[in-house]
Amino acid sequence: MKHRMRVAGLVAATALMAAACGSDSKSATSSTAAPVTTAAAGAATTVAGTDTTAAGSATTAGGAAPTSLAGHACDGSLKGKTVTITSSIRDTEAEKLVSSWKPFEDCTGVTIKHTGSATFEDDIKTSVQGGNPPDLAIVPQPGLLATLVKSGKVVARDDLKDSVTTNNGSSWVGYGTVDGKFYAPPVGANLKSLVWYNPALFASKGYTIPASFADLITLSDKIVADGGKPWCAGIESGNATGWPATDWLEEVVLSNDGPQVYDDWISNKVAFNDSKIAKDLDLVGSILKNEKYIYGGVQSIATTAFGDATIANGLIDGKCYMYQMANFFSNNFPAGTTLGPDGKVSTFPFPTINPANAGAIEGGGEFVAALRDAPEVLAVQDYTTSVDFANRRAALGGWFTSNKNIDVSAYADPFEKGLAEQLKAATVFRFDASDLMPSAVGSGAEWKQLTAWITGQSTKDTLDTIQAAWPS
Amino acid sequence: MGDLIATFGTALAGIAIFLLVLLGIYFVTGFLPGRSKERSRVAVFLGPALLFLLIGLLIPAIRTIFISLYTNKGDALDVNKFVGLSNYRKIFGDKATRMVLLNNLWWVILGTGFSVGVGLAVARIADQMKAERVWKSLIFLPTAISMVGAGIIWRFVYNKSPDPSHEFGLLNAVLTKVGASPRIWLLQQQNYVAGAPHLNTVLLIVIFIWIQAGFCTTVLSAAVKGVPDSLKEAASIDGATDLQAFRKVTIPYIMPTIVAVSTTTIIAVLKVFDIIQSTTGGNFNTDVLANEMYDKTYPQNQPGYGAALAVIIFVVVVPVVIVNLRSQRRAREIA
Repeated sequence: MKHRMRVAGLVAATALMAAACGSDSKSATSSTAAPVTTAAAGAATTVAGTDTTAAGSATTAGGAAPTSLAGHACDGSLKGKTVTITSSIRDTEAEKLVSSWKPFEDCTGVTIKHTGSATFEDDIKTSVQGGNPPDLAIVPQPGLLATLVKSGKVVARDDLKDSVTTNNGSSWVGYGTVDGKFYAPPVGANLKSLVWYNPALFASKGYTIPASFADLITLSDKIVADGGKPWCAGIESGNATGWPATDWLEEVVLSNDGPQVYDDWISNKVAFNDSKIAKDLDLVGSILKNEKYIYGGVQSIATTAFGDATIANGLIDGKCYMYQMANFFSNNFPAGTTLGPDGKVSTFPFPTINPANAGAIEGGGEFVAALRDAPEVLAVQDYTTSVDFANRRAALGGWFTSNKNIDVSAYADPFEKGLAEQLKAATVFRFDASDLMPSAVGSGAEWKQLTAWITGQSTKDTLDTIQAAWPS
Repeated sequence: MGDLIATFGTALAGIAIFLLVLLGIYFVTGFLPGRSKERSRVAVFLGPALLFLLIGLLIPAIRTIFISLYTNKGDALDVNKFVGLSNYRKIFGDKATRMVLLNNLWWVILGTGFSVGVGLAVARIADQMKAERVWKSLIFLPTAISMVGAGIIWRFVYNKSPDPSHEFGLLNAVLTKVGASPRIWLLQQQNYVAGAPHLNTVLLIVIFIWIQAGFCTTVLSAAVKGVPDSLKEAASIDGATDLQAFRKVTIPYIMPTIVAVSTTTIIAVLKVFDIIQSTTGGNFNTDVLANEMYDKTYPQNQPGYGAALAVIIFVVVVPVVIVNLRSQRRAREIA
C-alpha cells in the first residue's frame, strides 16, 4: 500500500490531461452502494480479537446498539475525549475509514479526528521530532515504525500480542515488534504477488493462466507472435519512483530462492549483490527489459506512473495483456469496471518459479501506532485492529486485511473475497522486503538504482551500488 | 470551520496584544531622558524582529551545522553519533553527489544566464515596440505559475505516449508532424562533451527560465526606462549606433540592477526543488542539491547527510546574498 497516496495528485493530473478516467471511481460507487449495511456485524465481541468467533457472532442483527466494542463498554465513558489520527489515506478511502470508526464513537463517546497526508511518511517524522505528534499514526512500513519507536515516543502494546497472533498470525506480530517489544497491530493489508489481466481477452485468444514462470515466458512470446504486447509496466511515483520495480524483484526472490534467502536478504546476510539476487534481477529483466514485451517500450517504464491511465485502459482495451501490481491497483480502473474472474479485469497469482516455493506470496500492510499513552487513545487503537472494525471496513469495499477471523462475506466485492481465499491458501507469506530494509536502501538506493537499471544500467553496477549504500 | 475561526481569532488577539505592549513600552520610554530614550526606542522596534530572526533563523542554522556532524546509527529518528566531517567527505567523495553538484553549477550558469539574458533582450526590444505592454505581459504570465504547476505542465510537453498514433506531448506532437521520431525527453541523458550538462537537465532549466524570465524582464525594463534621455541623446549626437549606445550607456547605467536581478535569480536557482520533484524526482542524472537534501533527510532518513547538504547550499548562497544586498542598496542610491 505504500506510496500509493503520495503520488495521487500527479496521477490525478495525468488522468485529467489524458481525459481518461477518475482514479477512485470504483471505490466511489461502492461507497454509495453499501453505506454501512452490515453495521452491527460482530457487535457482541468482548475483547479485541481474542474471541475468535467474533466475526460470525452478529447476534444483534438489525442494528441494536452493541453493549461493548473491542472490549470497551458502550457507556459513553470517553465522552469529551478526542483522539487524533494521521495516515497516508486520503479522499474516498479516508471517508470510508472515518465512517468505520463511527460505531466506536457512538459507543464510547470518543471523538476521532483523522488527517490524511500525501507526504505522511515525511510529516510523521517531523511531528514526532517536533514534539507535536498525533495520538495515533497508521504507518505503512515496519522500517518506519522501527525508526519512530527508536525516538521513544511510541507506546508499547504487548497486551495486544495474543489477539494479533490469533487474528493475523505470528508473522504480523513480528512486523509490529521492535527490540522484543510489541508496538503496532496491523490494520489493512495488500497482496503484491499478483498479475492483472483481462479474462475475456485471454479467453477469446485462447490464452490460459500460466502455472509457472516458464509458462509465463511462453505465453509472453506467444502474445508477441500474435502481434500483441504482453506487458504493461510503469514505475514512476514522484520521488518514490522505482518502488514497483522492487516489488518485481521481491516476488522473484521469494518464488525462486524461497523464504530463507528472502529473510537473509532483508538482514543483508545475503548481500544485495549476491549472485542469487543478480540471477533474480536478470529474471525480472527477461520481462521488463525485453523491448518486444513492453507496451510503449522498455524506456517508457521509468516515466510511466504505476497508476497511469494508459495502463488501466491498456489492459481493458487489449493494448497490453498483463500488468504486475498489488491488489490496490483496483482503485485505478475507470468507473464501473467489474473485477474478478467474471469481470472486466482480474488477477492471477504471480507464477511459481521454483516448485519448492509454490504458494509463497508477498504482500504489505499498515500498522497503527500509539504516540500518546491515554486510555482513549489505546481504546481507539484496540478498535482499529479489531475484527469488528475489519468487518465494517471490508463491507465498504476497496480494502483488504490480513485478519483471518474476518467474516469473508463482509467483503463488498467478490474480487476481495477471492484475495482473502488466496491469502488463506498461501503456504508462505512475506512482507515487502524494501519496507523492512534500512531507509537508506529500501526507500533510497534500491528505488533509484532499479530505475537506472530500467533505463540501461547493468545488473552488476546496480546491485553493487545498492549494496554500497547499506548502512554499516 | 469553527475551529478555523477560533484559531484565527486567537492569532489576531495575540498580535493585537503584542502591538499594544509595544506601544505601551514606546509610550513609557517617552519619559526617559535624551539618549537613553533614543536607544530604548530602537530596542523596542528592532528587538522583536531580532528575536524572531534568532528563533527562526539563527538557532536552526547553528543546529543544522551541528546535525551535519552527526549520523543516526541504526536508522534512528534523531542523530545519535558524532562522525565529524565524514558526511562532507561522503558528499564530495561520492560520484553520484558530484554529479548533483555539477548539475547545480549548470543550473546557475544556464538558468541565471538565460533568464537575465532573455529579460534584458525583451526589456530592450519591447522598449521600442508599439504593443510593449502586450509583449511584456506575455513574458510575465508564467511567473504567476508555481514551480510545481510548471513542472507538471512541462512534463506533458516532454511526454511520449505509448501509442505512437496518439502523441499528446507537445514537443513530440510537433516533431512527429514534421517527420521526426518522438523521444522520451526526460530520459535524454546524453551530453556531447564530458562535463557538459545532460540534455534532460537543460530541458528542466528551460522550465525555470520560462518562469523566471518574466521577473527579470519587469525589473530590467523599469531600469532601462530610468536611463535619462539626455545621456542617450548625447550618445547619438556623438555618432553612436543604437546597439553601441545600449552597450556603452544603458548597460553600465543599469549595472547595479542587473547585478541585483542576477543574484536574486542565482538564489532562486540554488533553491530549485519543486521542478525536479514534479518531473523526474531526481532520477536520470537530473538531481540538484535541494532535492537531494530533501530525499536524504526525509525518505532516506539520513538527517546528518541532509544537514551537510543544507550547509553546503548555505555556504554557496551567503556570498550571493551579500552581493545582492549591496547591489540593491546601490541601485536604490541611484534611483
